[in-house]
Amino acid sequence: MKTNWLKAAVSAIALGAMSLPAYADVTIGYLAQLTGGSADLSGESALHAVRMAIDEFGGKVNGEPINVLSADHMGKADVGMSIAREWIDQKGVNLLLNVDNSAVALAVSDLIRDKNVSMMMAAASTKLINEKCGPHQVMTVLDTASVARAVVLPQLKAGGKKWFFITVDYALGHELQARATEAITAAGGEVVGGVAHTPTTTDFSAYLLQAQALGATNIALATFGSWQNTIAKQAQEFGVKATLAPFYLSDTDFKAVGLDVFQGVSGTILFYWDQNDATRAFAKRYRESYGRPPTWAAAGMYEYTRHYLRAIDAVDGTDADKIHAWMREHPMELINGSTATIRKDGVTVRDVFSYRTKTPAESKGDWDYLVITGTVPGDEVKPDLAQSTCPYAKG
Amino acid sequence: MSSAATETRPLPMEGRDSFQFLGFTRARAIFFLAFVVVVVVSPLAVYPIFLMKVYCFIIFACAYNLLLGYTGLMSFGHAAFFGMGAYLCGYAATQWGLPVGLAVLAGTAYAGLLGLVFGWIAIRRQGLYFGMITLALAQMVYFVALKAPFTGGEDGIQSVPRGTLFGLVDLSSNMALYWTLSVILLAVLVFYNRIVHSPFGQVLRAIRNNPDRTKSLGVDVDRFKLLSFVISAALSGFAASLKTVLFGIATLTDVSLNISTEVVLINLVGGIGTIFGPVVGSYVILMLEQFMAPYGPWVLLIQGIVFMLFVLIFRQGIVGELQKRLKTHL
Repeated sequence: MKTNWLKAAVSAIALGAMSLPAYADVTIGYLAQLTGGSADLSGESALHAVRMAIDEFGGKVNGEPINVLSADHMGKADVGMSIAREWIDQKGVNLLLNVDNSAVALAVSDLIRDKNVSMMMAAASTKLINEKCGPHQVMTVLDTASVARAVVLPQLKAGGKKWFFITVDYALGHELQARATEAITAAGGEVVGGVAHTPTTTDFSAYLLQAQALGATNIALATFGSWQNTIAKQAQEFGVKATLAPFYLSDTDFKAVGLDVFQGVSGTILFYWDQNDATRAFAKRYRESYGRPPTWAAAGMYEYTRHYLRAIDAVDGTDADKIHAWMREHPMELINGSTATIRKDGVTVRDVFSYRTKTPAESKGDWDYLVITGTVPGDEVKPDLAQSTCPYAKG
Repeated sequence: MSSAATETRPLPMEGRDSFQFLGFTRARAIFFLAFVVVVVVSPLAVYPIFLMKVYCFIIFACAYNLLLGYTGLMSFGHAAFFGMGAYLCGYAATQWGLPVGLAVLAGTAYAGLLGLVFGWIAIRRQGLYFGMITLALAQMVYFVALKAPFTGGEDGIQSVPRGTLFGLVDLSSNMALYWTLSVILLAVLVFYNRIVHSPFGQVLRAIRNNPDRTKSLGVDVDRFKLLSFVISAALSGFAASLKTVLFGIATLTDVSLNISTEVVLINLVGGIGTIFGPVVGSYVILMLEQFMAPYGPWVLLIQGIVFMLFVLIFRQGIVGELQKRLKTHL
């Protein structure tokens, strides 16, 4: 009786452990938020872009199949790190992709620093390119300081001098607010006030009216996803005059709440599907298999995956030092036809595009939301390499 | 608790005359030795980090079972002790630069201290009210952890070094840490069994079965309850500190409501009021989580179904059913 139970338990444990897949020479671990939060923007849709990049590369590199694993880190550092650790120890993962949460990315960063593993993270904390940078670590999005500058500066130039913040009460929100405040005061603007909202807030009207009472010309939304959409909706309902400045707006948000809610909004974006012929061609391919155009997050994952695979192919191996050296030396080809460069501290220097939203009359519907109004050169938004505290950036 | 009442009815209390060594009857000794074999053999087949995580949860579940299964107090707030133990251990190791052993002790002591305060407040009430007070206190602790600067907010306390054990064993190697944790786990099981099957444990079980009658026998019921609460809290903090050393991170997850409910689930599945229930329950629940992880939110659904199945069909849990069949306390 007892021994039977024991045998069963031991064999169950053993069985569980042995059902591991055969190791491919190149294994990509896609670690992202697959539910809630940023899942619409990135999540499964960006994983699809990663798979596209692999398929278009031929599915193999150096004659070995490319294996993809995926898991949900749920925005929790401990969950993300234990998945990453297991992938590295047990499945021989070479590259961790997306990692779209700063807390998770910071934890994983410590884990991989001395290992032959790369991380290309869509996390924006400036720590990741300073004291927590790594030799095999690349940031695939603008860091918080750059995104704050990229969003705030054009609006300051347009005359918005009095700013109010609605900030999500996360580390990300506070960091965005701090960086944007620096940019605003440096450019002669003024911050008239700000509030932090909890993740459970659903009514923002009091904050909006407070902003109005303080005479704010611009309201910076240092938040994202459904909160940002609700704020925009309520601003519309309350007839708030101030210009909204969302930091993380994407095509999926327009689809979710409707273009009319985001009237007169301008901002910056890394990729828009309807920018030029090259992006439209990519969007068409993507759409055939996924059903909607790619967000900037999905496009980014495609570009970085492709660059990484080219590097493996070129250096003929999976030595992370060589791969990253190659990726830095060779400009990264972007979907829109231009190129970007990766720096030693993990920063990607690339142009960003300013946009304004279309009016409902202008829009032909069907994901037609933005007018690209200009280009902000990468050199203007990039963080100063001389001021980086990243030890790998020196020399 | 009704489960306690049903558990004691079919099985007679252990007499003093039966064979015992350190509180081990023959059946428990066999079970324990079998588990030692499992601990020694399993890293050959299973990812050691996962096993170590299970071991930390076994210790946590034992701590909880001492309170629920043997004292009859149902706490919904053990995440407070687990989380704060984890945070303090992480803080001590990273900010104060304490060696790993002392950091773990600091986490344990802090959780015990917190247990003293919370227990002192909570044991004034019984049943549901007791549970609600512990829940409220734990939610307050969660809020503090969310806001206080020393916990690092969502980032948590990261890069907690594993260090060396007494300056001798380098714990950065997974296997070195595995054997260290295995010895600790087995020692905790012996300790836990010793407490339960001692005169002190007998008083606790008497309180569980009938507090009024125990009081009439001249026992200071509140003092024993408080002591049991503090031991449970400190042991929870100990488990959390080990977990922090293992993963190198202490986060909001450790102090969240999920932890409080998970430990209830582990005991329910394993067997409330048994020595080996927490062991079996931890394996079952954590393996379920591990292998269901790719299915994301479905884990919660399946955990819910497991919970209902056990409540409806196997009310005494796996080990509880087993001891009924074998007619001996496990």
